[in-house]
Amino acid sequence: MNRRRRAGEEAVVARLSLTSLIDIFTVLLLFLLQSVVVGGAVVTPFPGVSLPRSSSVAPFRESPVLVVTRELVVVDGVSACATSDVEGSSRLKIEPVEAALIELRAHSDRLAEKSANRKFEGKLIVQADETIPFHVLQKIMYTSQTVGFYDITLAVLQK
Amino acid sequence: MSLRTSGRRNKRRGQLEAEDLNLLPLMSLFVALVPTLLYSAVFVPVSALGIDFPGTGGAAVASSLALTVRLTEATVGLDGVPDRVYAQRDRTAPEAWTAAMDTVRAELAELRAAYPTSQGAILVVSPLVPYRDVVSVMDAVREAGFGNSTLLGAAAPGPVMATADVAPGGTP
Repeated sequence: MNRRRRAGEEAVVARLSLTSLIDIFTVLLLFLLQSVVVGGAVVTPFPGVSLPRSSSVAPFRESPVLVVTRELVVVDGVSACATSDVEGSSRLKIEPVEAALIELRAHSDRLAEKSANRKFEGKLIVQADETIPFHVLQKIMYTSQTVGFYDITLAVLQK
Repeated sequence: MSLRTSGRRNKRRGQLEAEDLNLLPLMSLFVALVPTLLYSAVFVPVSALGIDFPGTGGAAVASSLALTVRLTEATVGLDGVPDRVYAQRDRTAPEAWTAAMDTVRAELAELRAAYPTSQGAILVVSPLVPYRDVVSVMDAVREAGFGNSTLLGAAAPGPVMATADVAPGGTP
């Protein structure tokens, strides 16, 4: 390609046309603005969990999350035990879940010691698969309460 | 800059050309806004469903009406209303479940009108009822204006608990 200008030719100034990019950004911005969450904690459904649908539109407060999938019980991102173990248990209190929650509470207490404006409030968000039987959920909630997580909120998908 | 120079050149020739807008500040704003909004955007809307527990100061404790919704694997129906007995409706088939829930909603609306100040309902659930059905009944109770439900587990055979085992007095 010959970059040298020929005699008599004007210098060409390349201009970037930003109009189409602006259009894309405007559409993207409007889409994001309507899906943005203001004044509440953002909770993402755990992979593999099919949350039940509900007409509730209440926002979340910042809390640790306990997930009950069809296979596992996950406490704050760490697998505690198999859901089948909870299902087959004849006791209300599930020891592995209790141990994980005690660890979670101890972590919250340590944070509270370091920071004056943080304290353990006993809040817990439960994300449970819509197909799990109620008694599994009940055992999980009971175990949570034994550790001090009294303020339990269920995570549901908005209808 | 180059845009303005180009505009002047055209003016010198006597041609009329619309002045180009400088879109770079707007672009900078968009580039800053889009990642910020992407970070706080939610594409799967998840919301919170509040529940009360027996003896923890839930709304059902203070209620003048001891409204109870019984949910088993086979039936659903109201209970605990003075001088009235409600039928427990069959819910084994999906159509029957829909019809039963419509009836329960209508009955709850009637009760709301009869007891306008009453708050809360006790939801007695059999152990093997799927969680999604529990949420449906909780929705019906809340939509009727009774607020959050108090969950109780119905006694059942096998490795399940009795009602009294669920957070007795709020301090298990």
